[in-house]
Amino acid sequence: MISPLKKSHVIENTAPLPAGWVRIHPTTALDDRPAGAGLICTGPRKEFLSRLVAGVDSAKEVVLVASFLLADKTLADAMLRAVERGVRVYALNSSEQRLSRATEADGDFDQRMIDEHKALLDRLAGKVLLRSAEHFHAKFLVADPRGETRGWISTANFNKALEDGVELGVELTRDEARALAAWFNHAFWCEAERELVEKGRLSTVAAPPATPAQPPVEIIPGTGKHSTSLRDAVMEMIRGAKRELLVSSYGLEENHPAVAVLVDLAKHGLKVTVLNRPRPACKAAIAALLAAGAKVLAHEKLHAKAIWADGRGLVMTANLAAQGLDEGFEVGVRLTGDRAEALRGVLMDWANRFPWHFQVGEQLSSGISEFCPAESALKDGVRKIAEEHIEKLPPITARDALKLDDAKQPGVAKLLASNGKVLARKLRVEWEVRPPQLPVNAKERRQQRTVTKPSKDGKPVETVESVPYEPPVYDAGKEVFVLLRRPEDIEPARKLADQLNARVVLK
Amino acid sequence: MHTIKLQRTITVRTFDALATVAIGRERPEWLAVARLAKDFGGEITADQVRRELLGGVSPVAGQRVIERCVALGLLEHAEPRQHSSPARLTALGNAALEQGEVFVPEERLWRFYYVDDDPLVVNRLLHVEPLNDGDAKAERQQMRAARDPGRRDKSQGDDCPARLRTDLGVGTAMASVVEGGPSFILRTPPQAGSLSNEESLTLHLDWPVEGQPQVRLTGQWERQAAGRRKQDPPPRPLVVNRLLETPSVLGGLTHPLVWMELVAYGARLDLTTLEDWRNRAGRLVLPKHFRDLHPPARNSFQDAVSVPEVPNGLPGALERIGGFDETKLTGVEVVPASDADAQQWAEWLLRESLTTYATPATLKESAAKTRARFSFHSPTLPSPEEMLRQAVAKPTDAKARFLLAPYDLGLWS
Repeated sequence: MISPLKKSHVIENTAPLPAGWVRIHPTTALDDRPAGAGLICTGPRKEFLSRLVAGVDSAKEVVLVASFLLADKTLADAMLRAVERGVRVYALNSSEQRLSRATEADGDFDQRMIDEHKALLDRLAGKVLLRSAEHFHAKFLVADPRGETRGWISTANFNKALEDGVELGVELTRDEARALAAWFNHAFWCEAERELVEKGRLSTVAAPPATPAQPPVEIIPGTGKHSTSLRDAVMEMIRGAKRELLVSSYGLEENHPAVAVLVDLAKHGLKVTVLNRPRPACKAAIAALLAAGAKVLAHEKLHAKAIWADGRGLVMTANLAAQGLDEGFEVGVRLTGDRAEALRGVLMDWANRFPWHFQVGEQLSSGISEFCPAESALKDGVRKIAEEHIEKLPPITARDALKLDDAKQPGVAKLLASNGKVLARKLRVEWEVRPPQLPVNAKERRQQRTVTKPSKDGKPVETVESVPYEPPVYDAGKEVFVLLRRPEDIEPARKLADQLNARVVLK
Repeated sequence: MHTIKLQRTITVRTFDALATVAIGRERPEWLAVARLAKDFGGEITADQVRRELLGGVSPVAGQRVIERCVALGLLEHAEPRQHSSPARLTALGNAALEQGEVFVPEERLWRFYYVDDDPLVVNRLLHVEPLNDGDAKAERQQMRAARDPGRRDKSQGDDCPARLRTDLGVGTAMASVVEGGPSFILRTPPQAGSLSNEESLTLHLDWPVEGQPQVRLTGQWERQAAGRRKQDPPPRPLVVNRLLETPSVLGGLTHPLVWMELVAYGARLDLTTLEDWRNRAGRLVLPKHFRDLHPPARNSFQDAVSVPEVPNGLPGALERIGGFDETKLTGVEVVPASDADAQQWAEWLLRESLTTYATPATLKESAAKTRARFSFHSPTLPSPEEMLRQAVAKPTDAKARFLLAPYDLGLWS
């Protein structure tokens, strides 16, 4: 008789997004051609990997390999070829305990990577002299530290990151490579905890028969149990920046002094650009940097650790975190002149092309396509921004069955303020207006009517009697209702309601 | 060099015969009389016994005590056939005082355990035991009944074996070799009896480097159940573990002499070679070729020499003490037999000492320690640089990393 009325309304979603990563570019393969001056980016062309392999293949006497994880088959094949040629190959890597903890703590670090790492160690056992320690995190390769020395520092682990990571490698000068070899020696003799003696069997390392020379920290700064020269170098670079700072780091720890200084400098107006990988672990540091005025961009595969400040550069293996700069075994190489300029070029290129931008309070209407809340990881937190979102609201009941159009529109403010749960530029709300029902406790009202009826003697007599309204009228509390029972009663009901100041309802 | 340990199996025979054997028993009352005699200078009178031991009873009682002690052999009359004369302490009385036992004679059927012939067994009669609980007469009858019916003189049984007859030590106190066995004195030797089974014991000759040789018998005899009643429990075996009197035949031998004879025999070397090395080294050593030594011996300079069974009558010092089972001499100090052996040996030791990462300084120290182990040769050991060159040439060698890693990783200079 009176059908519910379907209604809808379209509004622009002007609600601000919470803190999180906003996609500003599609994720595309980055250019991994050599950036010049010995700086190489990793990537699908495997340029850096090729150089490492060539370095091992041309080694005549000794190869030193350090990597938190070691799982690249091509590089391992080269190491084994070297062993077959009579070259001595030594390796440092992280301990199994540390790797297991990393798996638990870091969603980007999966068990498969560790399994590949272990499988490769089994291949190398008995051929490569390998030592490990919980804090070994440095990645580098040195060939022939005594002769035609060559060396590379890598921000990438020697695994698939050499191909699909956003990483940096630096070809070192001979002095740098030899200084790096000194770091290797010191870590091997003084900091290693276990030695791979045969497949699957690690023995505890005994005290060395002599103490190796201290590494020349003025050439290659590093962090180890005896030195924090890498941390010192990082702090000095950041603190000394006057014009611009470009920082790339996979890990950022809000409470670390390096991050604190970055925040402080950004607050004081220094142009600070931070490149990162969107991870919940960095949320607090990123938020602090953004709040201080830094520009924060990210890439799904970024793992490079580098700083450029006013024409000076540093590529290193440490994240801006205590576990790296303060407690790990980490190394870095200072870059000046062309090498620093090449680093700036790479970091600027990345800043221009990185797909994710950290924002707080971004408007959906600004054309963004994807968003990832800061507390989520990209792999399961990214949400597409839709053009329109249809939200079905609960039905509402009109006051009068004959005035459904007059029903009050439901509120959407709460919906818009739902903290980014509705990710659409337009919000279409749909609802239904239903006619009201007669309250269950309503009592029918009757009217007094004077009627003339013949008496016993046949004379007409006027009497007053109580009769129902037509359509019927009910009272409930102070409200009066006219009950609509048939379509043909619509007009009488409307008139009666007007007359009695009542509402038309259905049963 | 450790104790020489030799052993052989010896045969013990038994002979069952009537005899009077005095068995050592605890009889403090008779020992008290012997003690009194000793206290009175070796002689006592019946009156002294009466006063000192019997509380002043009649003199006849004192005389009876003395007569009993004479019968037991503890005392003898100073004047034969005069029972009233003072009595003297006998040698047996002295022995009884020393052992705290009185030898009480019993005439009955005994089983004599004896060794037929062995140069290291001084007292050939090892043990005696009574055969039955019956009286001597009944035992004689039993023995006759058991006698070989084919023998010519059925009334006498088997003659006492010659070895037993000549070496019985009649009148001498002897100790049984059986654990818990008695001391005993054979008062009247057996004349005829019955030869029975043979048993075996192990004779050990242990000769420590510092000290006297010791001869010991060990083993167990299963006792025969002859004459045992049905209700009696089976006889328990006799367990033997007794150090024997050192035989005089060992007096002419020395530990080094026996050691050299055994080593020469075991290592198939001339005794002269061993003697030359003993003179050169001032101690007993065995020259060995490097190739013949297993690694523990190369490391410790000590080896074990296996000595095959030594036959009876082997010429030399061992001839006097008889043959022995095969044995092993442990802790034998070995030395290189030649300069070439010493050179190989020292190089091997230096390589073996390389069990962890080394530097030139530690290698030189190891080489000096290795050289010092060769008192009679002067091996030349490779320098650290020469060792490194070998390691570089063979980097996959198991020991190479101990040199190569320090060299490659900044510890060499």
